[in-house]
Amino acid sequence: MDISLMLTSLPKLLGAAVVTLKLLSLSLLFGIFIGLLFAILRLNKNPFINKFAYGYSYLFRGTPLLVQIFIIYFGLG
Amino acid sequence: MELLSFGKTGWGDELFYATLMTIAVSITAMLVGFLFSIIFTPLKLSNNKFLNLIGNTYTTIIRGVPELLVIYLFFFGGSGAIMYVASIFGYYEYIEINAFITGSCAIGIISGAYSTEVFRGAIQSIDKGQFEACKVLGFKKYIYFLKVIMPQMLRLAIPNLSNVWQITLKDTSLISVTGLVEIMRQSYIAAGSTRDPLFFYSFAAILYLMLTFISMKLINRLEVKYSRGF
Repeated sequence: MDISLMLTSLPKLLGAAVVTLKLLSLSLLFGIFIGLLFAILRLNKNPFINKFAYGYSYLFRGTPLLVQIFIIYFGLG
Repeated sequence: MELLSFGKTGWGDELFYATLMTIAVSITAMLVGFLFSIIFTPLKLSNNKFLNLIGNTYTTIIRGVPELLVIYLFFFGGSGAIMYVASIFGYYEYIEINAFITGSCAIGIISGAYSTEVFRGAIQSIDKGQFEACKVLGFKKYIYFLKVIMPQMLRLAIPNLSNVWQITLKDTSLISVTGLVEIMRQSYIAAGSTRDPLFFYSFAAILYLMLTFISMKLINRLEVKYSRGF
């Protein structure tokens, strides 16, 4: 345990915590809107639309977050 | 499709073995998790405040910390801790701990926290009369747990355990950061050497989807079996 190293790195970590909070609030905001949209589609009587919404949630809940991030980050690049 | 062929030119066989590795790590982690929940569920249900606190601390900390952090802590912190202990005994070489064992333990501790919560919830939703009846009939403790509580608990726990299994299966992708060659790591290697990341990461996603799809089908069968007679 190196206390002085911990103390000197504390400001950096706190700065990073702000980034974490920003990421959290942005993704929550987007997530709520996308979630609301797909929830409405999921309740649609048209089987095509409602299967599409089901497929969306199945795809994203069934694959690891790391794979999704890699696809978006490297795949689209 | 050529990229997926088996043999020296394609990545098919490598990805196949990587999938087996993912399955092996997930099952080991799930079993480690069950061991942890066997220890911690009674603590959480205990009337003793101190034991209760231990159980709650475990589940709160693990569920409140990102999985990746736990893995880093285990893999890098773990080898650091072992090297520190070894240095006391006069051994200063670099010690690398097995990625499979540390990875499964790290994921196991995480999935243990989730399954502890599942078991606690399941036992708490069993009717109180069942426990009282067992006491009145004077059953021995292990008989009353195995014959009366366990079957009812499993019936309630299996649907939630299937969620825990899915989380555990997906969490194993995080072990790729330690260099263990499972689906994620293998796709990373393949994507790097063929410069076709979109294809390999999408294929990894399909592999994970297949694993979750097949395991959901199997667990549904188990669910039907255990909810019989109700």
